[in-house]
Amino acid sequence: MIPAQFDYHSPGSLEEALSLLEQLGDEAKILAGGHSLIPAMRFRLAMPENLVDINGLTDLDYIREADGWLAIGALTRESALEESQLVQDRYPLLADTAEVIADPLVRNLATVGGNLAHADPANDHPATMLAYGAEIAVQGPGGARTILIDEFFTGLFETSMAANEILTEIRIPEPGAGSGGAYLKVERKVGDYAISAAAVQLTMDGDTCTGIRIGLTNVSPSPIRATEAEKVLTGQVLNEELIEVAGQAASDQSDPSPDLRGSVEYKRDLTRVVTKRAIAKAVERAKGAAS
Amino acid sequence: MKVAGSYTFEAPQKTVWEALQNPTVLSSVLPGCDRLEEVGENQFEGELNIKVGPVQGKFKGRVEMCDLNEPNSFTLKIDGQGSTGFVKATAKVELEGTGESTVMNYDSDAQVGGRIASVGQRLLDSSAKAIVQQSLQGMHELTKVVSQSGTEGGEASAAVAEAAVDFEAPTQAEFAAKVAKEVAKDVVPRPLVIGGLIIVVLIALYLLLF
Repeated sequence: MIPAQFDYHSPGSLEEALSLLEQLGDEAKILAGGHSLIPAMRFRLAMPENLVDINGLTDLDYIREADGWLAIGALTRESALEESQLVQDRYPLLADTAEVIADPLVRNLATVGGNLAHADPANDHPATMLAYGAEIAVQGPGGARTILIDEFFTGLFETSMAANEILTEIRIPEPGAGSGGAYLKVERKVGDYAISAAAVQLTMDGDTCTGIRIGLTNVSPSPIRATEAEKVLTGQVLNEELIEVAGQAASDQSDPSPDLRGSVEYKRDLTRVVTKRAIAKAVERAKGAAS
Repeated sequence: MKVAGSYTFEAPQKTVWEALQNPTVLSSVLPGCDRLEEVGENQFEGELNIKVGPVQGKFKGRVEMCDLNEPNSFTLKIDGQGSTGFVKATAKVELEGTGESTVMNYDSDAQVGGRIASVGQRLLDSSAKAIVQQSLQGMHELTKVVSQSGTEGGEASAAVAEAAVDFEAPTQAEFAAKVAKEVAKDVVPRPLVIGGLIIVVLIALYLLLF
Protein backbone atom coordinates (compact mmCIF):
# COMPACT_ATOMS: atom_id res chain seq x y z
CA MET A 1 0.00 0.00 0.00
CA ILE A 2 0.99 3.63 -0.22
CA PRO A 3 0.26 6.24 2.43
CA ALA A 4 -3.05 8.04 2.47
CA GLN A 5 -3.04 11.60 1.19
CA PHE A 6 -1.29 14.19 3.35
CA ASP A 7 0.06 17.73 3.18
CA TYR A 8 3.81 18.15 3.49
CA HIS A 9 5.55 21.00 5.30
CA SER A 10 9.27 21.63 5.53
CA PRO A 11 10.03 24.34 8.10
CA GLY A 12 13.45 25.97 8.02
CA SER A 13 13.66 26.72 11.73
CA LEU A 14 12.52 25.34 15.06
CA GLU A 15 10.23 28.35 15.56
CA GLU A 16 8.58 27.70 12.21
CA ALA A 17 8.16 24.02 13.08
CA LEU A 18 6.59 24.90 16.43
CA SER A 19 4.20 27.38 14.88
CA LEU A 20 3.16 24.79 12.29
CA LEU A 21 2.40 22.32 15.07
CA GLU A 22 0.30 24.92 16.87
CA GLN A 23 -1.58 25.72 13.69
CA LEU A 24 -2.20 22.16 12.53
CA GLY A 25 -2.87 20.65 15.95
CA ASP A 26 -3.91 17.01 16.11
CA GLU A 27 -3.65 16.40 12.42
CA ALA A 28 0.12 16.87 12.24
CA LYS A 29 3.00 14.48 12.88
CA ILE A 30 6.67 15.33 13.04
CA LEU A 31 8.80 13.56 10.44
CA ALA A 32 12.45 13.02 11.35
CA GLY A 33 14.07 9.72 10.34
CA GLY A 34 10.62 8.41 9.51
CA HIS A 35 11.46 4.76 10.06
CA SER A 36 8.69 4.20 12.58
CA LEU A 37 6.18 6.62 11.11
CA ILE A 38 6.42 5.90 7.40
CA PRO A 39 5.94 2.12 7.66
CA ALA A 40 2.82 2.82 9.73
CA MET A 41 1.63 5.25 7.06
CA ARG A 42 2.34 2.82 4.25
CA PHE A 43 0.12 0.27 5.92
CA ARG A 44 -2.42 3.04 6.47
CA LEU A 45 -2.41 2.33 10.16
CA ALA A 46 -1.34 5.93 10.71
CA MET A 47 -2.92 8.59 8.50
CA PRO A 48 -1.79 12.03 9.65
CA GLU A 49 -3.16 14.77 7.46
CA ASN A 50 0.05 16.78 7.74
CA LEU A 51 3.70 15.89 7.97
CA VAL A 52 6.07 18.46 9.44
CA ASP A 53 9.48 17.46 8.13
CA ILE A 54 12.16 18.64 10.56
CA ASN A 55 15.13 17.20 8.67
CA GLY A 56 15.95 20.77 7.65
CA LEU A 57 16.68 21.73 11.26
CA THR A 58 20.34 20.72 10.95
CA ASP A 59 21.21 22.78 14.04
CA LEU A 60 19.76 19.91 16.04
CA ASP A 61 22.35 17.43 14.77
CA TYR A 62 25.35 17.40 17.11
CA ILE A 63 27.26 15.40 19.71
CA ARG A 64 29.28 17.42 22.22
CA GLU A 65 30.53 17.25 25.77
CA ALA A 66 30.27 20.36 27.94
CA ASP A 67 29.78 21.29 31.60
CA GLY A 68 29.67 17.71 32.80
CA TRP A 69 27.13 16.52 30.25
CA LEU A 70 27.11 14.78 26.88
CA ALA A 71 24.63 16.74 24.79
CA ILE A 72 23.10 15.01 21.79
CA GLY A 73 20.92 16.98 19.42
CA ALA A 74 17.55 15.36 18.76
CA LEU A 75 18.19 15.09 15.03
CA THR A 76 21.46 13.16 15.50
CA ARG A 77 21.40 10.02 13.36
CA GLU A 78 22.11 6.67 15.00
CA SER A 79 25.00 6.13 12.62
CA ALA A 80 26.61 9.33 13.94
CA LEU A 81 26.70 7.75 17.41
CA GLU A 82 28.42 4.71 15.92
CA GLU A 83 30.98 6.89 14.17
CA SER A 84 31.68 9.21 17.10
CA GLN A 85 35.02 8.46 18.77
CA LEU A 86 33.83 10.35 21.85
CA VAL A 87 30.84 8.04 22.25
CA GLN A 88 32.83 4.88 21.55
CA ASP A 89 35.51 5.81 24.10
CA ARG A 90 33.55 7.36 26.97
CA TYR A 91 29.96 6.14 26.66
CA PRO A 92 30.15 2.39 25.99
CA LEU A 93 26.51 1.81 26.98
CA LEU A 94 25.41 4.29 24.32
CA ALA A 95 27.84 2.83 21.79
CA ASP A 96 26.49 -0.70 22.47
CA THR A 97 22.93 0.53 21.98
CA ALA A 98 23.46 2.45 18.75
CA GLU A 99 25.01 -0.64 17.13
CA VAL A 100 21.97 -2.85 17.63
CA ILE A 101 19.21 -0.49 16.57
CA ALA A 102 17.66 -2.02 13.44
CA ASP A 103 20.10 -2.20 10.54
CA PRO A 104 22.63 0.17 8.92
CA LEU A 105 20.15 1.53 6.38
CA VAL A 106 17.76 2.51 9.14
CA ARG A 107 20.56 3.87 11.32
CA ASN A 108 21.63 6.28 8.59
CA LEU A 109 18.31 8.08 8.91
CA ALA A 110 16.82 7.19 12.30
CA THR A 111 17.33 9.86 14.95
CA VAL A 112 17.95 9.61 18.71
CA GLY A 113 15.17 12.13 19.35
CA GLY A 114 12.71 10.15 17.26
CA ASN A 115 13.59 6.89 18.99
CA LEU A 116 12.68 8.47 22.34
CA ALA A 117 9.70 10.60 21.30
CA HIS A 118 7.97 7.71 19.50
CA ALA A 119 8.06 5.78 22.81
CA ASP A 120 7.63 2.35 21.28
CA PRO A 121 8.32 -0.11 24.11
CA ALA A 122 10.52 -2.06 21.70
CA ASN A 123 12.86 0.85 21.01
CA ASP A 124 16.37 0.58 22.43
CA HIS A 125 17.31 4.10 23.52
CA PRO A 126 14.64 4.42 26.24
CA ALA A 127 16.23 1.71 28.41
CA THR A 128 19.69 3.18 27.84
CA MET A 129 18.60 6.71 28.76
CA LEU A 130 16.90 5.32 31.88
CA ALA A 131 20.17 3.62 32.81
CA TYR A 132 22.11 6.85 32.26
CA GLY A 133 19.64 9.00 34.18
CA ALA A 134 19.43 11.30 31.18
CA GLU A 135 17.51 14.55 30.81
CA ILE A 136 15.34 15.42 27.84
CA ALA A 137 15.08 19.00 26.61
CA VAL A 138 11.91 19.91 24.76
CA GLN A 139 10.65 23.13 23.26
CA GLY A 140 7.06 24.28 23.01
CA PRO A 141 5.16 27.47 22.27
CA GLY A 142 5.63 28.44 25.90
CA GLY A 143 9.40 28.01 25.79
CA ALA A 144 11.94 25.36 26.66
CA ARG A 145 11.77 22.87 29.49
CA THR A 146 13.68 19.85 30.76
CA ILE A 147 12.07 16.51 31.55
CA LEU A 148 13.88 14.00 33.75
CA ILE A 149 14.04 10.60 32.08
CA ASP A 150 12.29 8.90 35.01
CA GLU A 151 9.28 11.08 34.26
CA PHE A 152 9.46 10.92 30.48
CA PHE A 153 7.82 7.60 29.55
CA THR A 154 4.23 7.45 30.70
CA GLY A 155 2.66 4.58 28.78
CA LEU A 156 2.36 2.71 25.51
CA PHE A 157 3.56 5.21 22.86
CA GLU A 158 3.08 7.97 25.42
CA THR A 159 5.53 10.50 26.80
CA SER A 160 5.09 13.48 29.06
CA MET A 161 5.74 15.77 26.11
CA ALA A 162 2.77 17.83 25.03
CA ALA A 163 1.43 17.41 21.49
CA ASN A 164 2.77 20.85 20.51
CA GLU A 165 6.29 20.27 21.84
CA ILE A 166 9.38 19.18 19.95
CA LEU A 167 12.22 17.19 21.53
CA THR A 168 15.40 19.18 20.98
CA GLU A 169 18.22 17.64 23.03
CA ILE A 170 19.20 14.64 25.11
CA ARG A 171 21.69 15.15 27.94
CA ILE A 172 23.65 12.34 29.56
CA PRO A 173 25.65 13.06 32.72
CA GLU A 174 29.37 12.54 32.19
CA PRO A 175 30.38 9.25 33.81
CA GLY A 176 32.73 9.57 36.78
CA ALA A 177 35.71 7.48 37.75
CA GLY A 178 35.05 3.77 38.16
CA SER A 179 31.92 3.81 36.01
CA GLY A 180 30.99 1.31 33.35
CA GLY A 181 28.00 0.41 31.27
CA ALA A 182 26.71 -2.16 28.80
CA TYR A 183 23.66 -2.90 26.66
CA LEU A 184 22.82 -6.50 25.93
CA LYS A 185 20.08 -7.30 23.45
CA VAL A 186 18.84 -10.69 22.28
CA GLU A 187 17.03 -10.65 18.94
CA ARG A 188 15.77 -13.35 16.62
CA LYS A 189 17.74 -11.99 13.72
CA VAL A 190 19.98 -9.02 13.00
CA GLY A 191 18.02 -5.79 12.92
CA ASP A 192 15.01 -7.09 14.82
CA TYR A 193 13.38 -5.64 17.92
CA ALA A 194 14.58 -7.15 21.19
CA ILE A 195 13.05 -10.28 22.64
CA SER A 196 14.51 -8.76 25.79
CA ALA A 197 17.37 -6.35 26.43
CA ALA A 198 19.01 -4.75 29.45
CA ALA A 199 20.91 -1.46 29.76
CA VAL A 200 23.18 -1.13 32.78
CA GLN A 201 25.19 1.86 33.98
CA LEU A 202 27.05 1.55 37.29
CA THR A 203 29.96 2.87 39.34
CA MET A 204 32.33 0.63 41.26
CA ASP A 205 34.63 1.34 44.19
CA GLY A 206 36.88 -1.71 44.16
CA ASP A 207 34.43 -4.60 44.34
CA THR A 208 31.62 -2.54 45.80
CA CYS A 209 28.89 -1.15 43.60
CA THR A 210 28.30 2.44 44.68
CA GLY A 211 25.51 3.16 42.23
CA ILE A 212 23.59 1.37 39.53
CA ARG A 213 20.71 2.00 37.13
CA ILE A 214 19.16 -0.70 34.95
CA GLY A 215 16.75 -0.15 32.05
CA LEU A 216 14.78 -2.95 30.33
CA THR A 217 13.64 -3.06 26.70
CA ASN A 218 10.47 -4.58 25.31
CA VAL A 219 9.36 -6.44 28.42
CA SER A 220 6.70 -3.98 29.60
CA PRO A 221 4.13 -1.69 27.97
CA SER A 222 6.48 1.22 28.48
CA PRO A 223 10.22 1.22 29.25
CA ILE A 224 11.04 0.52 32.89
CA ARG A 225 13.91 0.59 35.31
CA ALA A 226 14.60 -2.65 37.12
CA THR A 227 14.52 -0.84 40.46
CA GLU A 228 14.29 -4.03 42.52
CA ALA A 229 17.44 -5.36 40.90
CA GLU A 230 19.13 -2.00 41.52
CA LYS A 231 18.28 -2.25 45.23
CA VAL A 232 19.83 -5.72 45.46
CA LEU A 233 23.18 -4.41 44.26
CA THR A 234 23.54 -0.83 45.47
CA GLY A 235 26.21 -0.47 48.14
CA GLN A 236 27.04 -4.19 48.00
CA VAL A 237 30.16 -6.14 47.18
CA LEU A 238 29.34 -7.76 43.86
CA ASN A 239 29.73 -11.46 43.26
CA GLU A 240 28.13 -14.00 40.95
CA GLU A 241 25.44 -15.06 43.44
CA LEU A 242 24.32 -11.50 44.08
CA ILE A 243 24.19 -10.71 40.38
CA GLU A 244 22.02 -13.81 39.88
CA VAL A 245 19.63 -12.49 42.54
CA ALA A 246 19.54 -9.14 40.74
CA GLY A 247 18.82 -10.88 37.44
CA GLN A 248 15.91 -12.72 39.03
CA ALA A 249 14.61 -9.48 40.52
CA ALA A 250 14.65 -7.83 37.09
CA SER A 251 12.83 -10.83 35.66
CA ASP A 252 10.15 -10.65 38.37
CA GLN A 253 9.65 -6.94 37.82
CA SER A 254 9.24 -7.28 34.07
CA ASP A 255 5.78 -7.56 32.52
CA PRO A 256 6.28 -8.94 29.00
CA SER A 257 3.43 -9.65 26.61
CA PRO A 258 3.39 -12.95 24.73
CA ASP A 259 3.82 -12.53 20.98
CA LEU A 260 5.69 -13.84 17.96
CA ARG A 261 8.97 -13.25 19.79
CA GLY A 262 8.19 -15.50 22.71
CA SER A 263 6.00 -16.51 25.60
CA VAL A 264 5.82 -14.64 28.89
CA GLU A 265 7.93 -17.31 30.63
CA TYR A 266 10.59 -17.27 27.96
CA LYS A 267 10.87 -13.48 27.89
CA ARG A 268 10.99 -13.33 31.68
CA ASP A 269 13.81 -15.82 31.88
CA LEU A 270 15.66 -14.13 29.05
CA THR A 271 15.37 -10.86 31.00
CA ARG A 272 17.06 -12.56 33.95
CA VAL A 273 19.93 -13.67 31.72
CA VAL A 274 20.48 -10.41 29.79
CA THR A 275 20.36 -8.40 33.00
CA LYS A 276 22.96 -10.63 34.64
CA ARG A 277 25.26 -10.54 31.65
CA ALA A 278 24.90 -6.79 31.12
CA ILE A 279 25.76 -6.21 34.80
CA ALA A 280 28.81 -8.45 34.53
CA LYS A 281 30.01 -6.63 31.43
CA ALA A 282 29.44 -3.23 33.00
CA VAL A 283 31.45 -4.28 36.06
CA GLU A 284 34.28 -5.49 33.85
CA ARG A 285 34.34 -2.18 32.00
CA ALA A 286 34.16 -0.20 35.25
CA LYS A 287 37.13 -2.06 36.67
CA GLY A 288 38.99 -1.58 33.39
CA ALA A 289 38.31 2.15 33.51
CA ALA A 290 39.51 2.44 37.09
CA SER A 291 42.85 0.85 36.45
CA MET B 1 -5.76 -14.62 21.77
CA LYS B 2 -6.86 -14.46 25.35
CA VAL B 3 -7.61 -11.26 27.24
CA ALA B 4 -8.47 -11.91 30.86
CA GLY B 5 -8.13 -10.19 34.17
CA SER B 6 -9.74 -8.74 37.25
CA TYR B 7 -10.51 -5.26 38.36
CA THR B 8 -11.69 -4.09 41.75
CA PHE B 9 -14.25 -1.30 41.97
CA GLU B 10 -14.74 0.60 45.22
CA ALA B 11 -18.47 0.45 44.84
CA PRO B 12 -21.19 -2.06 45.75
CA GLN B 13 -22.11 -4.72 43.21
CA LYS B 14 -25.48 -3.20 42.33
CA THR B 15 -23.85 0.14 41.47
CA VAL B 16 -21.26 -1.55 39.28
CA TRP B 17 -23.97 -3.58 37.51
CA GLU B 18 -26.01 -0.43 36.89
CA ALA B 19 -22.94 1.29 35.50
CA LEU B 20 -22.24 -1.65 33.23
CA GLN B 21 -25.76 -1.35 31.87
CA ASN B 22 -25.72 2.36 31.22
CA PRO B 23 -24.79 3.44 27.68
CA THR B 24 -24.13 7.00 28.85
CA VAL B 25 -21.46 5.73 31.22
CA LEU B 26 -20.05 3.66 28.44
CA SER B 27 -19.59 6.50 26.03
CA SER B 28 -18.00 8.58 28.79
CA VAL B 29 -15.36 6.07 29.66
CA LEU B 30 -14.64 4.42 26.34
CA PRO B 31 -12.11 6.14 24.16
CA GLY B 32 -13.43 7.52 20.88
CA CYS B 33 -16.97 6.15 21.15
CA ASP B 34 -18.82 7.92 18.33
CA ARG B 35 -22.04 6.02 18.03
CA LEU B 36 -24.12 3.42 19.78
CA GLU B 37 -27.39 1.97 18.47
CA GLU B 38 -29.72 -0.87 19.24
CA VAL B 39 -30.21 -2.96 16.14
CA GLY B 40 -32.09 -5.91 17.59
CA GLU B 41 -33.04 -7.72 20.76
CA ASN B 42 -29.96 -7.48 23.03
CA GLN B 43 -27.93 -6.56 19.97
CA PHE B 44 -25.98 -3.36 19.62
CA GLU B 45 -23.85 -1.72 17.05
CA GLY B 46 -21.19 0.84 17.85
CA GLU B 47 -18.56 2.89 16.15
CA LEU B 48 -15.26 3.78 17.72
CA ASN B 49 -12.58 6.16 16.64
CA ILE B 50 -9.38 5.29 18.43
CA LYS B 51 -5.92 6.79 18.44
CA VAL B 52 -2.88 5.04 19.91
CA GLY B 53 0.46 6.67 19.27
CA PRO B 54 0.58 7.51 15.57
CA VAL B 55 -2.04 4.92 14.70
CA GLN B 56 -5.66 5.95 14.33
CA GLY B 57 -8.71 4.34 12.88
CA LYS B 58 -12.44 3.73 12.81
CA PHE B 59 -13.96 0.51 13.80
CA LYS B 60 -17.50 -0.86 13.63
CA GLY B 61 -18.56 -3.54 16.06
CA ARG B 62 -21.67 -5.56 16.71
CA VAL B 63 -22.19 -6.90 20.17
CA GLU B 64 -24.71 -9.42 21.40
CA MET B 65 -25.46 -9.84 25.08
CA CYS B 66 -26.54 -13.21 26.32
CA ASP B 67 -26.71 -15.41 29.42
CA LEU B 68 -27.79 -12.44 31.49
CA ASN B 69 -27.74 -13.18 35.18
CA GLU B 70 -28.44 -9.90 36.96
CA PRO B 71 -26.52 -8.64 38.89
CA ASN B 72 -23.82 -11.30 38.62
CA SER B 73 -22.71 -12.13 35.12
CA PHE B 74 -23.25 -12.02 31.37
CA THR B 75 -21.62 -13.18 28.16
CA LEU B 76 -20.82 -11.11 25.11
CA LYS B 77 -20.43 -12.16 21.54
CA ILE B 78 -18.51 -9.67 19.47
CA ASP B 79 -18.13 -9.32 15.74
CA GLY B 80 -16.01 -6.43 14.61
CA GLN B 81 -14.71 -5.04 11.36
CA GLY B 82 -12.50 -2.19 10.29
CA SER B 83 -10.52 -1.37 7.18
CA THR B 84 -7.52 -3.05 8.74
CA GLY B 85 -8.93 -6.38 9.78
CA PHE B 86 -11.60 -8.26 11.67
CA VAL B 87 -12.17 -9.86 15.00
CA LYS B 88 -14.55 -12.36 16.53
CA ALA B 89 -14.62 -12.77 20.26
CA THR B 90 -16.56 -14.18 23.16
CA ALA B 91 -16.22 -12.62 26.60
CA LYS B 92 -17.52 -13.64 30.01
CA VAL B 93 -17.96 -10.94 32.63
CA GLU B 94 -18.57 -11.80 36.28
CA LEU B 95 -19.12 -9.57 39.28
CA GLU B 96 -18.37 -10.55 42.87
CA GLY B 97 -19.41 -7.94 45.37
CA THR B 98 -18.51 -7.84 49.03
CA GLY B 99 -20.06 -4.88 50.77
CA GLU B 100 -18.55 -1.67 49.50
CA SER B 101 -16.34 -3.19 46.82
CA THR B 102 -16.81 -5.38 43.78
CA VAL B 103 -14.40 -7.53 41.86
CA MET B 104 -15.07 -7.80 38.14
CA ASN B 105 -13.57 -10.82 36.42
CA TYR B 106 -13.40 -10.81 32.63
CA ASP B 107 -12.28 -13.59 30.39
CA SER B 108 -12.37 -13.38 26.61
CA ASP B 109 -11.19 -15.40 23.67
CA ALA B 110 -10.61 -13.52 20.45
CA GLN B 111 -9.66 -14.38 16.89
CA VAL B 112 -8.04 -11.52 15.06
CA GLY B 113 -7.36 -11.49 11.35
CA GLY B 114 -6.36 -9.21 8.54
CA ARG B 115 -3.62 -6.62 8.22
CA ILE B 116 -3.56 -5.67 11.88
CA ALA B 117 -3.01 -9.25 12.94
CA SER B 118 0.04 -9.64 10.76
CA VAL B 119 1.60 -6.17 10.98
CA GLY B 120 0.55 -5.39 14.52
CA GLN B 121 0.90 -8.75 16.22
CA ARG B 122 3.58 -7.68 18.66
CA LEU B 123 1.43 -4.94 20.16
CA LEU B 124 -2.00 -6.57 20.23
CA ASP B 125 -1.63 -7.90 23.73
CA SER B 126 -0.24 -4.79 25.42
CA SER B 127 -2.60 -2.46 23.55
CA ALA B 128 -5.61 -4.53 24.53
CA LYS B 129 -4.56 -4.61 28.17
CA ALA B 130 -3.86 -0.88 28.22
CA ILE B 131 -7.19 0.15 26.78
CA VAL B 132 -9.14 -2.21 29.00
CA GLN B 133 -7.29 -0.73 32.00
CA GLN B 134 -8.02 2.81 30.87
CA SER B 135 -11.71 2.09 30.39
CA LEU B 136 -11.97 0.33 33.73
CA GLN B 137 -10.18 3.16 35.50
CA GLY B 138 -12.59 5.63 33.96
CA MET B 139 -15.50 3.53 35.08
CA HIS B 140 -13.98 3.11 38.52
CA GLU B 141 -13.76 6.86 39.03
CA LEU B 142 -17.35 7.21 38.01
CA THR B 143 -18.71 4.41 40.18
CA LYS B 144 -16.71 5.78 43.13
CA VAL B 145 -18.42 9.13 42.68
CA VAL B 146 -21.79 7.44 42.70
CA SER B 147 -21.13 5.14 45.61
CA GLN B 148 -19.63 7.93 47.72
CA SER B 149 -22.76 9.96 47.16
CA GLY B 150 -24.49 7.19 49.08
CA THR B 151 -27.24 6.26 46.66
CA GLU B 152 -28.42 2.69 46.39
CA GLY B 153 -30.72 0.45 44.41
CA GLY B 154 -32.92 2.14 41.83
CA GLU B 155 -31.49 5.50 42.77
CA ALA B 156 -28.05 4.20 41.83
CA SER B 157 -29.10 3.94 38.22
CA ALA B 158 -30.23 7.54 38.07
CA ALA B 159 -27.18 8.68 39.99
CA VAL B 160 -24.88 6.86 37.61
CA ALA B 161 -26.61 8.43 34.63
CA GLU B 162 -26.30 11.87 36.16
CA ALA B 163 -22.65 11.42 37.07
CA ALA B 164 -21.93 10.15 33.59
CA VAL B 165 -23.21 13.26 31.86
CA ASP B 166 -20.65 15.54 33.48
CA PHE B 167 -18.01 12.92 33.82
CA GLU B 168 -14.67 13.25 32.17
CA ALA B 169 -12.52 10.16 32.31
CA PRO B 170 -9.22 10.72 34.08
CA THR B 171 -6.50 11.32 31.55
CA GLN B 172 -4.47 8.34 32.45
CA ALA B 173 -1.75 8.59 29.90
CA GLU B 174 -1.66 4.85 29.58
CA PHE B 175 -1.71 5.58 25.94
CA ALA B 176 -2.98 8.11 23.46
CA ALA B 177 -6.56 6.93 23.20
CA LYS B 178 -8.76 9.96 22.87
CA VAL B 179 -11.82 9.91 25.03
CA ALA B 180 -14.95 11.04 23.26
CA LYS B 181 -15.87 14.51 24.41
CA GLU B 182 -19.54 14.27 23.78
CA VAL B 183 -21.68 11.89 25.66
CA ALA B 184 -23.85 9.89 23.30
CA LYS B 185 -27.23 11.39 23.89
CA ASP B 186 -29.46 9.37 21.60
CA VAL B 187 -28.71 6.10 23.15
CA VAL B 188 -30.70 2.99 23.52
CA PRO B 189 -33.05 2.97 26.45
CA ARG B 190 -32.06 -0.62 26.89
CA PRO B 191 -29.06 -1.25 29.05
CA LEU B 192 -26.48 -4.01 29.02
CA VAL B 193 -23.90 -2.52 26.78
CA ILE B 194 -20.96 -1.28 28.76
CA GLY B 195 -19.24 -4.55 29.33
CA GLY B 196 -19.72 -5.36 25.68
CA LEU B 197 -18.31 -2.12 24.52
CA ILE B 198 -15.30 -2.36 26.75
CA ILE B 199 -14.58 -5.46 24.82
CA VAL B 200 -15.48 -3.70 21.58
CA VAL B 201 -12.93 -1.05 22.38
CA LEU B 202 -10.49 -3.79 23.07
CA ILE B 203 -11.26 -5.24 19.70
CA ALA B 204 -11.02 -1.84 18.05
CA LEU B 205 -7.58 -1.69 19.48
CA TYR B 206 -6.72 -5.03 17.96
CA LEU B 207 -7.87 -3.77 14.64
CA LEU B 208 -6.18 -0.47 14.67
CA LEU B 209 -2.79 -0.91 16.16
CA PHE B 210 0.56 -2.32 15.73
